[in-house]
Amino acid sequence: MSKSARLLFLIVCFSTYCQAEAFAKSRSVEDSINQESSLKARHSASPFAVGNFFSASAAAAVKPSVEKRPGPKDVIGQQLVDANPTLEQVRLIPSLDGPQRKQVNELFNVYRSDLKLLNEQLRPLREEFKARLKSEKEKFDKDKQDRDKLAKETLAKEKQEPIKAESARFVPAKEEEDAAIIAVVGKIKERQNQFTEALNKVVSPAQMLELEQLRRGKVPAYAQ
Amino acid sequence: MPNRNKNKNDQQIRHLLSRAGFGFTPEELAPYLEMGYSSALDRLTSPSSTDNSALDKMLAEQSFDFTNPDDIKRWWLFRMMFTRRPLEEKMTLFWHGHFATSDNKVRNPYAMYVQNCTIRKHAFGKFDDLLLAMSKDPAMIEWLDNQQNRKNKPNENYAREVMELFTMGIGNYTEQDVKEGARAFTGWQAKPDGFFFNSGQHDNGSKTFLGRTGNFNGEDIVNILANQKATGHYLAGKLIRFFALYNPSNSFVDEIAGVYKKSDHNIGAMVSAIFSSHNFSSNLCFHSLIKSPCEYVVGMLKTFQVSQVDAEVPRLMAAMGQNLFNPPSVKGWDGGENWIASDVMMERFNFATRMISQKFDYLEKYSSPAKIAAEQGLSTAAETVDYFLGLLVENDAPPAVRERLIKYVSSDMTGKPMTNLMTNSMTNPAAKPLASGKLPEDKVLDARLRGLVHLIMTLPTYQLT
Repeated sequence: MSKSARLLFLIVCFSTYCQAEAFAKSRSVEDSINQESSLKARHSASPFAVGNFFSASAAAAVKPSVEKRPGPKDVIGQQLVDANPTLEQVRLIPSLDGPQRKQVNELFNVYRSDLKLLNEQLRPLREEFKARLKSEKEKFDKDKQDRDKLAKETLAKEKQEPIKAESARFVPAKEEEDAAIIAVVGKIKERQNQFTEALNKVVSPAQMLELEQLRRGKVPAYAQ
Repeated sequence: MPNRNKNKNDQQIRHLLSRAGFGFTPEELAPYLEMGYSSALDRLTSPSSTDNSALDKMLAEQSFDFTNPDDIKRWWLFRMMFTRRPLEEKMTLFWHGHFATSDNKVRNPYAMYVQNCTIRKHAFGKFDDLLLAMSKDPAMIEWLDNQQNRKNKPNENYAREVMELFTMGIGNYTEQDVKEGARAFTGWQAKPDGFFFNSGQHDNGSKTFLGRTGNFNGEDIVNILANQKATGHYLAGKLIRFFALYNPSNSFVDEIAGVYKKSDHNIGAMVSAIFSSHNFSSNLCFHSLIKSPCEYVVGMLKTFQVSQVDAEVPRLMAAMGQNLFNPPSVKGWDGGENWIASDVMMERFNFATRMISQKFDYLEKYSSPAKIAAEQGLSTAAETVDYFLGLLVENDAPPAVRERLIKYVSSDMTGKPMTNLMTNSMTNPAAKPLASGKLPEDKVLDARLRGLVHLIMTLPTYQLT
C-alpha cells in the first residue's frame, strides 16, 4: 500500500470514531490526570522545541506577519483598481455634516452608475478579446500540427534525419495593448480621477485624514 | 513524590492555558510553569497587569484596513496568536458569541471592530458596564434594529434579546416586559461617531418592567437586568460551559452565580472562580470540551510557532463553522458537538494536511517535526511518538494507538520496517539523533514525521481541550 493510501486509511479509521469518541469524552472522561503514565514523565519538563518569534534565538528572526490576498493578477485588473474610498467608508467620517452627506451620496450615485456603464462597455470587449485569442491559438496549433505532419512525411519520403529547429511559439496578443480595451480603460481611469477631484471638493483633507485614521484602526474614546 | 506533584501541577497549568487561551508556545508556557497555578491564574485573570506592548508593536507593523471585512478577521486572529494576555482574547471571543453580532447584516466592518474593542475593554469588569456598552454599541444597534425603535413605533428586537440571550434567559420575563423594555430603549440610536440619544424619539412615559414601575430608560433597564438573580445564574452557566464543562452540576452553577452576586457582578471574579474550582481541576474536566475552530487553528499554529497568519485562514475557519464577526444567528455559535459535525470535520483534517504539507511550507519555515525531533535529540521511534503525543494531545491516547503510531514511524513507505535509520537508532544507542544527518533516509523520515504529526492531529483527542 502506498504512503498516501496508508495515511488516508488511518485518517478514515480515526475519523469514523472521532465524533462519537470526542462527544463521549466531553461527558465522561477517564481518570487521565491522576493516572500519569510513564510516557508523561519522560518529556514533562519541556516538551517543546526551543526558540520562537518571542525568543532571541535564530528562529526569532521570523517576524510575525499577516498575509493578504494578492490583488488582481491581470494587468487590466491592476489598472482598474480604484484608489477612491467607497461610499460605506466615506460615511464613517464622524465630522461629515448633513449637507456633505447628501452631496457625497449624490456624487457616489452618479459615479457608480457611470462606472457601471463603462464596465458594461469593457466586459464584452474583454470577452471578445479572450475568444479571439483562443481561436488564434487554436488556429496556430492546428497549423503547426499540419506543418509538422507535412514536414515529417516529407522527411520520411526523402529518408532524411529530422532537422532540429526551434519550433515557432504562439505569442499571444496582450489585452492591455488592445486599442479598444485601452480606450475604455482610459475612460474608467479618467472617471476615477474626476471623481477623486469631485470628492475632494466636498470632503476636506482633514476629514479624509479622519477616515484614514479609522481605516488604520483608531477607535473612539469609549471603546479604548 | 515531589516530581509527581510537579508533573501534575504542570499539567494543570497546561490545562489552564489551553482553556484560558488558544494553546501556547514554549516561551509562553515557561513563566507560567515557574510561577505555579495560583499566580498563573492571577496573571491570566488580571490582563492589564501584563505588558502587551510587544503585540501592539507587531500590530503597528501590519497594514490592516479596519474597514475591510477580511482584515478585521486577520487582525483578531493575529491578536489571538501573539497576545501576552490570552484570556483577554478568549473572553472577547466568549462575549462575541454571547452578544453575537454579525457583519452580514451590520455591513460595517469598522463598527464590528469597534464593538470588538469595546468588548475587550469590559471583558473582565462589571457586567453592568459591558451590558450598557453593548446596548449603546453602534453595531449592536444596527444588528438588533434599535435604530428603528421609536417613540410611537417601538421595535422589540433588542429588548427581547437582551433578556432572552444576554441576561436572564428564556422563562424569566413576560411579553409585557419585552414591550415595556422596548419603550425604554426608544431613541437609542447610533451615529458614525458612536451612540446617539435621540430624545425626540424617546418614550418618556411610565413603564412597568419586571414588577417595577417608573419612567425607565435603557440605563435603568440594564441596571434592573444586571441585578436579577436569574442573570447571575444564566451567565454562570454560560461561562462554565464555555470554559469548563458542558454539563455542570447545579451546585457548580450556584457557586459561580454566588460569585456574581458577591463580587458586585464582576466577570473576572467569576472566571477566576471557575478556574479555581475543584470542578475545573477534576478529571472530568480534562479534555472534556471540543475545540472551537479558533482553538483548533490558532492552537495548531502556536504549537508549531508559525508566525504568519496566512490569507486563507479566516476562510478555512469559516468552513470549519466559525466565521469570526459573522456568527450564524443572534444566539451565537452552538459549539459543542456541532464543531465536529461530519461536514466540518473534514475541513479540520484538511487544515491539518495543509499544516504538514510541504506545499504550503508552514512547518518548513518554522518548526518542522524533523527539526523539533533533532532539537530534542529524539533517537527512537517510541521516543518520537511519545514526544509528539505529549506535545499535541498531552499523551491522552490509547496504548493501541501509540503502538500503531510507533509502527508507522518505524516503517518505510511500503510498510516494511526501516532498517537503516530508525530501527538502527532504536537498537543502537550510539546512533545519531533523528534528522540530524544528511542521509537520503532523512527525506523518508521527514515524510514519516510529518505523517505522524498529521495522524496525531486527526486523533479524536486532538479535537478536545
